[in-house]
Amino acid sequence: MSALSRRILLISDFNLENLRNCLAADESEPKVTADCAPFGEVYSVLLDPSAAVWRNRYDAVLVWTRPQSVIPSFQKVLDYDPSAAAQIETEVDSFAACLAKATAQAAIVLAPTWVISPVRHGLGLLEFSPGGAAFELAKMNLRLSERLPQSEGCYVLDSRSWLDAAGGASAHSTKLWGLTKTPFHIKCFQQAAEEIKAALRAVQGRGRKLLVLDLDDTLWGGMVGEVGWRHLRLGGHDPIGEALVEFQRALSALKNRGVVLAVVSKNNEAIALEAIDEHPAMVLRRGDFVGWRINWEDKAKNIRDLAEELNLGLDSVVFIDDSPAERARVRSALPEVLVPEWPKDKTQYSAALAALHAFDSAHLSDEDRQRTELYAAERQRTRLRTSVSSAEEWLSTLEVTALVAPLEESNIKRAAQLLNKTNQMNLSTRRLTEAELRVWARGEGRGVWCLSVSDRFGDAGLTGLVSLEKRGPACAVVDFVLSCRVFGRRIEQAMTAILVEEARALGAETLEATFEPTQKNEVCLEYWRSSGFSADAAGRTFAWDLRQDYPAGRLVRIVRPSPAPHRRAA
Amino acid sequence: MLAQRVESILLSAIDDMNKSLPAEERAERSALAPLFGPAGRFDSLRTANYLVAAEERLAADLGAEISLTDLLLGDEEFSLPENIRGLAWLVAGKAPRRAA
Repeated sequence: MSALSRRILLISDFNLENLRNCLAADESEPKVTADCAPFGEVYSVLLDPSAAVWRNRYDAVLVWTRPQSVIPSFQKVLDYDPSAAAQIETEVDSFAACLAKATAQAAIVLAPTWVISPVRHGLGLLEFSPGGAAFELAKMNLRLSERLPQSEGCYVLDSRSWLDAAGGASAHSTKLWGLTKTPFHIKCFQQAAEEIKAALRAVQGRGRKLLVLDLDDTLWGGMVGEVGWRHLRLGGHDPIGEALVEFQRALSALKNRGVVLAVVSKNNEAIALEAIDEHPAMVLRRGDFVGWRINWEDKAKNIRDLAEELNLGLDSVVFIDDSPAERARVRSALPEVLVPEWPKDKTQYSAALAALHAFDSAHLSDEDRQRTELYAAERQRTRLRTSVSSAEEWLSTLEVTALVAPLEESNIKRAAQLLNKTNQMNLSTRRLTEAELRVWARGEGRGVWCLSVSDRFGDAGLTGLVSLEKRGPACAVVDFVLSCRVFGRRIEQAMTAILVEEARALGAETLEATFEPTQKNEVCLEYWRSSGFSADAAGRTFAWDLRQDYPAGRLVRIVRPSPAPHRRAA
Repeated sequence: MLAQRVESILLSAIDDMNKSLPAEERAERSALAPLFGPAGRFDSLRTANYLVAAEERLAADLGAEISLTDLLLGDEEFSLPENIRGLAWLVAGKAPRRAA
């Protein structure tokens, strides 16, 4: 099944046919084919790998249960038996262990948080005290989240947000429960389908990375070119102005979790930048944007230019603009760009942003959090490049260092993220979850190494990954992955030299790299053609005789933490 | 007149329900297509989803709180009509006078 389609098994103690339909009806990627295990057989399906439902191969499993059904002591709590609370933790741990076992059947296991129907009479004042159902349920959800091994591909999803979006208390449907053993309103399943797909995209590393924003009536109220920055609606004792400040705060929070912001606006650049710099209520300032195109040109062209400048594919881009005409133009010219419908009512901007399930990631790394600063450093590098006479002089001035480390627990999250997000400099475009990568790396004759790249302008973090596997007298390069953020700094040659050294250490005679073409990795083929390796007749497999030294070059300093790198990873 | 208005509302409920179905499984927006009962195209889950969607539409558009599930599934006097038009006549007969 391709990266754009996923097969998922739904396991529950209630009827999930409506969720199955909503997953199939949702048109966002990935396309999902879902099967429902017979409902009410949660433990037996999870614990029995020979159960009939496992005859199909699934990419993901979703286990959505009512707490009283899988945690028997919680039913007693609902029945006001406070002595039962002591048993709950043990039962939650057992349930978590069962979920973890499902990772043997599918790479991803998703478990929505438990909720209870509002149609019950709680303990009132004591509901959120020990022995109260609300108190015990919150503890159970926390315990489940702590016990589920994310590193093995298990994730807890926040189902409360699905219910809130579907109307809160009215999202629970006693009518559908009575008729079909479906506890929730269809709107809840529609919301769940959107978020489950966002989770699958996140695990695949397909979250969007660049958010391009219009200015007038998007970031602030009014046309700055007409009224001047002092008269924009932003902040102040004005519901619209306050809503736009809240919207900017939400954008700033996205930036802090690794989404980079840019501006594309039809405006006079000097006037618009003055507003960004000077308006006292602006939350976002010039330094919060990785780039901007503020001019009178076509916005689609400007977005394409920005994405190219940042080395990002258009399928990484989201564009927000209050103008329906501009949205339609960008949708038509750049169909890969996500252009959400945008409310006319500015007080709804923050809610519209929150409803976009486009930016999720399975892991937040230091590299994500510092992404805007990393792009700022890149702009400094580019400026330096224009001030020196040759690429060699520029590179020697940069003082590039590649710190090489074997794959291990401390770097495997970021390594898996890099493996799944990188499209361009990627030899095989192999996609593996963290758990799959860990298992693969443990195989005999295999090794995975990570490169953290830095220079005088900053630390780009873990941006390179290579792996190889010994196959008879040859070593095969399995992964050769480099983030576009550090292209053009001769890191590729350093990575190749590391592979040569490691293949020799494994006793191989030749090192071979076979290029697997995709629509986006032509740049990788170009590198291997220029690598000095000999190409086969088809021009896809490149080989190096390991009796020869490989010229790594002197422009990248390779640093290893120890003289004897690990053969086994993680 | 009321029956026609109810029929239009009940057809809108088909649209609501179809939003949660893949294209190939969407129901025909027709007043006469057999949907309910043994010969209908809706299974029990689809029928329940439709009745809930229709109740919400009737409440929003007609201002009438009508429990179709009570009306059709809880009363032995009535059997489920096989199509939207039949359902519309039944609902119009039960709708409070002010809804008209």
